[in-house]
This record gives sequence, C-alpha cells and structure tokens, in this order.
Amino acid sequence: MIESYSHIIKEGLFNNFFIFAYIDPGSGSILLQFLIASVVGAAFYFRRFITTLIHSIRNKLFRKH
Amino acid sequence: MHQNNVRCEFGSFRDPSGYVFFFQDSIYRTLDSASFSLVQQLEREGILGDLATQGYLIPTKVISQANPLYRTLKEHLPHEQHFLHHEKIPLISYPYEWSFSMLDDAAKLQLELQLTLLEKGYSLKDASAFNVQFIHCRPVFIDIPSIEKPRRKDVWIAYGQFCQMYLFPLLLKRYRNISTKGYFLNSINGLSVEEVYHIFGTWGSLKPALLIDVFLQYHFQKSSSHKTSALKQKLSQEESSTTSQVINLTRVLKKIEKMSSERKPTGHWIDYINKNTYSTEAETEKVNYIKEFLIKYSPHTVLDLGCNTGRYSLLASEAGAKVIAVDSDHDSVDLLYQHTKREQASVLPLWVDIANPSPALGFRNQERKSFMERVKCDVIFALALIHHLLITSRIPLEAICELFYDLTTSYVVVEFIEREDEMFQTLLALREDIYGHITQDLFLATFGRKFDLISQYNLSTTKRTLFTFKKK
Repeated sequence: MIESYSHIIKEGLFNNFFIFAYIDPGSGSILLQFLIASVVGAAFYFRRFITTLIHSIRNKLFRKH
Repeated sequence: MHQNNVRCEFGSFRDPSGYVFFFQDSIYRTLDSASFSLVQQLEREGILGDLATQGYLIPTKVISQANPLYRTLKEHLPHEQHFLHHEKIPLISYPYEWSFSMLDDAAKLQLELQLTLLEKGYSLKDASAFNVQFIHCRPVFIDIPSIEKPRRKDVWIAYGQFCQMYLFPLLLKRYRNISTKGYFLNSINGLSVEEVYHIFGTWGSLKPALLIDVFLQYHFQKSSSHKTSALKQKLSQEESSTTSQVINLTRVLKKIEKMSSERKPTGHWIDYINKNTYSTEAETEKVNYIKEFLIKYSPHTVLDLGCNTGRYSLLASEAGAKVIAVDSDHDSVDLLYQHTKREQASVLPLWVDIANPSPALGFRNQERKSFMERVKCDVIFALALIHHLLITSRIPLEAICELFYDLTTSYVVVEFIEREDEMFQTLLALREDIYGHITQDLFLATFGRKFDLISQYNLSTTKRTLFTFKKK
C-alpha cells in the first residue's frame, strides 16, 4: 500500500514538476494542472486509505467488545 | 479579400480551419473537412443545438449540399467545401470595451461552456476573450471550430490563455485597481504570468486568491525553462478522467463569482441622477420628450452617447429599439450592465469614451475594428453630453456636429446647455473660459449645416434645451 502511494506522488507530482517542461507561456499553467491532478489523485487515494483504516479500527474495536 | 458580394471578416484570419464571411447581410463560416466532420458530429449528437438553446453558443446551422444556398455560396467561393451559418451579432464588441462585470460574465460563460463540453467528451482548444460576444447583455461563445475532441481530459490546454484573457485582468482590477481597458489595449492577448507576478510582487502574490494561479503558476513557469520535449510527450498521452480539470475549473469559477459579488461600484458619475441639477419637473419633461420621440419615430437602433446609468437607453429599449449605450465612466457602464441583465433589456452597455473611442488593433490594424468603423445607428441620443465634449475633451462644436453626422443614419436628439448652467460652470472649474461665443444661435447654425431641425423643447427652470435634428 505504501509503495503504491509513493508511486502516485513520484509519478504524479515530482515527475511532472522536474521532468516535464516547455518554454511556451502555457507551460506553467499545464504544470500547475498536473500538480492539481496529482493532489486530487493523492486525496482520492488517501480517502480510500483513511476509510479503510477507520473501518479496520472500528472492526477491531467492535471485535474487542 | 472582396469576392463579388462576399466580404471576409479579417478577424478570423488566424484560424487555419476556415474563415468567417458576410454574404447578403448574413454571417457564414467556411470549414475544412476535418473541422466540418467534428461539427457534423456535434450536430448529430444534439450538442450544437442544446448549447445554443442554453445560451452558451451562437445559434449555428450546417449548410448541407442539398440546400440551394450551398450552391450559391459555392458559386462565390468555389474553392471552399463546407459552410456554416451563424446568427448575426448586433454589434461586435471587444474586451477593452467591457466593464468588469461583463468580463466576469464572459469568463463564467467560457468556464461553464468548457465544463459542459467536458461532460460530453469535448473541450475548447483556446480561450480567447475575442471568441465571446455580447447579444445585448448576454454573453455568447461564437467560435465553433474551437471545439475539439481532447486527448487528455485531466488538463485544459487553454487554461494558460484563460488566465491571460480573463483571470489576470479580473484579479488586477480587483486587487490593484488596474483598468481592464488599459490591460487589453496595452497587450491585446493579455499579460504573461511573469508580468502579472511582477505587478503583484512576491508578497502580494502570496495572497490566497493569487497563490495558485499567480504565485505557483509563475514558479512552475520559471522552473520549466530547461527541458522542452517531455511535457509535449506527456500532453500527447491519453487521459480519460476529467476529475482534476473539473475540480480546478470549479475552483476558478467560484473565485470569479466571489470577485463579482464583492465588487462595489464607486465611480464619480454613478450618482449623477441623484446629484444632477434638474428639478423633478424638468426631468419629467425630458423623459416625456424622449418617450414622444420614440413613439413617433420608433427607431430600430439607438446609440446613447454618455448614457450614464442608462435611463434613456432603457426607455428606448422599452420602445423596441436595440440600444448601444456608451459612457467613459466605467462604474456607470457596469451598473447599467447589471441592470439590463436583470431586466433582460435590449441594451448593450459599452465602456467607450466617445472623445477617444477604441482604435483599430491587431495585425495590419485590421483584426479588431475601430469603434467608429463598427457603429452606426438610426438615432443618436446626446443628452447632457455636449458640454462634456466641449469643456472636458476640448472638442470644437463643429467637430461634435461632424461626429454625430458620421454616427447616425437619420436622427440625433441633442441637449444643449447654456454657459450659465450650473453643471457647465462646475466642469469649467479652474479652466479658462473660452466658451463665451458658444450660444444657442451658434449651436443651431453649426448643426444646421448638416442637419434639419425637427423640434425643440425648453426644459423649464433650467438653461437646457432639447433638439431633434434629421440628417440632411
């Protein structure tokens, strides 16, 4: 799971930031949108991760009682 | 570019897929085969019709080969294969003539259109503010060939251009009070993110409203100057998820809506109706005179010069005329726009100083026409205007008369104000009084050279007289 998350960040955010480039006046706006795409992707991933985490904690607590 | 009675619109010359032309008082567009098949697809899917009904797109029809009109157009333009018919825009206007709220509404239209197209699997390939026009007070998108099937749907390729044409001028007006007119006249395609960043400064652009679109965009731009091909390659890959683009554009749409709701007009002339020197009686007489004129001559088009908050423009609109209302005071135009939008009046308010109207701009000075070249109306209202032109802009009476003569096809309704009038004296302020010779007799003699006097009315308790002239 952690591996998968780091993949999203690496591919989605850092690669976009450091590798993809263009001198055209629109490059900043494209990179900005890739950043937003990465953040959105990470947020969706985190949401799933947190939901799973909450579920597992609840399950554990439920089982204890 | 004249071919028989076909007249090409020079403003569309950059588009490689076709051009716009006028034929028998209607507007058409030629298209190459690739663009035409996309337009046909849009029509088949009902998108073209739906978006026109919703007010996003200019109503457009494909001219099929079975249509007799096709053969006529083909005779005039034998090298062209495909034609579209567009609904006519009453008057082409440009972003440097729009008030803040108009640019704001044009920006909202552009974003909402992009979001709607995205839902249906399409996108806009550019975001020039010149692709939006106003039909009275309603913005509409006119450049159908801008619609494409995008490869990537997570980013909007035209977002940078959207910032330059809409977001940056709105932010600069909102946070630095930099006029949108100056912004576009200075640079017809808008300022780059670097220029905007330097205007706001590092600390200034850290403001929450500017952080993403100015600060971050600038630093991304700056850091991306040493490698070129990788971004291009990334952009050529397919991506079907629209989520991040929808989130980004919704964020910008909310920002733009917030900016327009926060704005309060503060111009000097917006309170003119309450502060002017008329008595209620004179005001009622003036309204009645205009109403009677409108009933008697029922003009199709009216140009209201120095419209202020548009009382007489609205009267003309109620009488069934299409009105162009211009004023040099931004906030008056902005208030009138908001009013006409609420009332759905047939008035197009434009921020134009008639003493210094918009110039011809763009390639060979032919891409964007001058205001004088575009405007001609049946009637001109020049109410409480002449003393401003005489004193503030120092335009001689004869030149004012020639200006009206050029702008009208038939009538002009002018309010003449004597030197003794309070407003005349206020405008004079510390200026040298060189207007001793300007009398009503001289006014009538000057206008008499170009116009026939139809009627006149002295407004009671004032030094003001209304005149109606007919062009000779």
